[in-house]
Amino acid sequence: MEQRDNSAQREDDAALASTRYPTSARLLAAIHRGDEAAIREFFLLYAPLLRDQARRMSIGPDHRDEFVTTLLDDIVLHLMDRQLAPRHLTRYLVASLRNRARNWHRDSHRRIATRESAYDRPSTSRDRIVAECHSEHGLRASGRIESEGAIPMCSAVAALARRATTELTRDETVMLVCVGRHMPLREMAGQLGISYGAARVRLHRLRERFRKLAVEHLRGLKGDERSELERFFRRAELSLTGGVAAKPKEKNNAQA
Amino acid sequence: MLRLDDRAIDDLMSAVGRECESADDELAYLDERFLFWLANDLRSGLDREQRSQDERDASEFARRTLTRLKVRLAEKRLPRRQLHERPASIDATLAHSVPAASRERCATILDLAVAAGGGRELWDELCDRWLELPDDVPSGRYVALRVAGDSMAPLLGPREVILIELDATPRVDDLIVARLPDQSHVVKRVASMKGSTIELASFNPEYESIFVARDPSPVVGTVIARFTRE
Repeated sequence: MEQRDNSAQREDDAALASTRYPTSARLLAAIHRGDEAAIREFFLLYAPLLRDQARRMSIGPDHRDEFVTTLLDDIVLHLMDRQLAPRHLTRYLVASLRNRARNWHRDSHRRIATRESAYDRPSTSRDRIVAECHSEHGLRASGRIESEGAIPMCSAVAALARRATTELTRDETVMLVCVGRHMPLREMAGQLGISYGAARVRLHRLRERFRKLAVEHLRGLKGDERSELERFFRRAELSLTGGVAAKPKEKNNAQA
Repeated sequence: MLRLDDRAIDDLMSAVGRECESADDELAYLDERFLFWLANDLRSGLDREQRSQDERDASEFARRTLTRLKVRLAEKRLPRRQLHERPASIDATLAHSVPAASRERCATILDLAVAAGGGRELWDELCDRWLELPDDVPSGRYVALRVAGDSMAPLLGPREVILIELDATPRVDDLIVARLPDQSHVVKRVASMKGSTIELASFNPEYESIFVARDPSPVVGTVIARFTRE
């Protein structure tokens, strides 16, 4: 019973939007009325989050602002047209952005593939090209740019993340995501519905479990993946050659 | 044996946590409270320049979104129809042509750009083409005008034909044709009616609002339909 009360309280807290519109329901009601100030507030509240999500979804810096603004614009119009009020507005926005980012990447890949096929197979391509009057350098210069606006994939960390999601419990993975966002421990405790002390204990246990997991993972790494993680640990003055003790450092209390 | 200190582990945990979030939709949507905390955290992390840029973008965003909404509403109210025109039964000025056209369920067609010529009165224009009224439009006094300019883009483009119901009382958000003090005529949206003035706004953001007196004289009529050529 108490747990249900806590979760209800958390839902209420989650709905806090801004001082002018204290709940997301009020913000949406004002948007439905066509209140210009509410639409403005909506942009100010959510644009930074969506830009961050767009960056994570590898939308390049040149397209990011336009991508987010167009998305917000479409969502506001959709909400106003249909008089919709999503229960979890922030989740709704993030889900919309991620769906659109996936479509954006798919369309970009198709465009690139079409362009490349126009050069590789000019006889079968429907695209009109003028490759015959270009120099070799010109053709190379107009070719595909592999990492156009994308964040390079950190394969060693990605592999460790995959392993972590399978070996850690769901709560531990959630905590890991919170750590990734540098969430204060007090806020993290609120998220999990536990006390500050309990959260500290859980974080300590997670760190120990993760340490074992990471060491096991590091032992199995070779070549590029290993050098990638070596770069990662350079700041801690660690070497992955084995048998090397870490230089004692001040404990990071960013999460506390 | 390989050992990792707390700082290294915390860094690696952060990187792995971010990777988990990016790779897993369920974790990315985690819960409303987490995402809302994140939204506020990212917002408070903006520097002064980014913040003021966001403030400017937000104002522009709100204004543009509301305009798009008005355009969308107007598009729903005024769906595009096929234009059916024919030669006028009589060659006369607009003043004489309107009653004759009305009797034959037609509306006289005028070119708004011509009507907007310096000092010429709309009612003195000669009309030689009539528009056949659609079946769902009741009989009455109508004028059809060809639009010039792009102030009402994307709703109305140049050379598009609009049907005006004469003598109608305008309301907020109606599209009306109004006569300005220099005798030119404009088609605009009624943005507001406060006190003794009517604010006429364009859909194209490059055009400023116009204010006219809130009495029947400047208002020619209300737009009730728009047509494209066959």
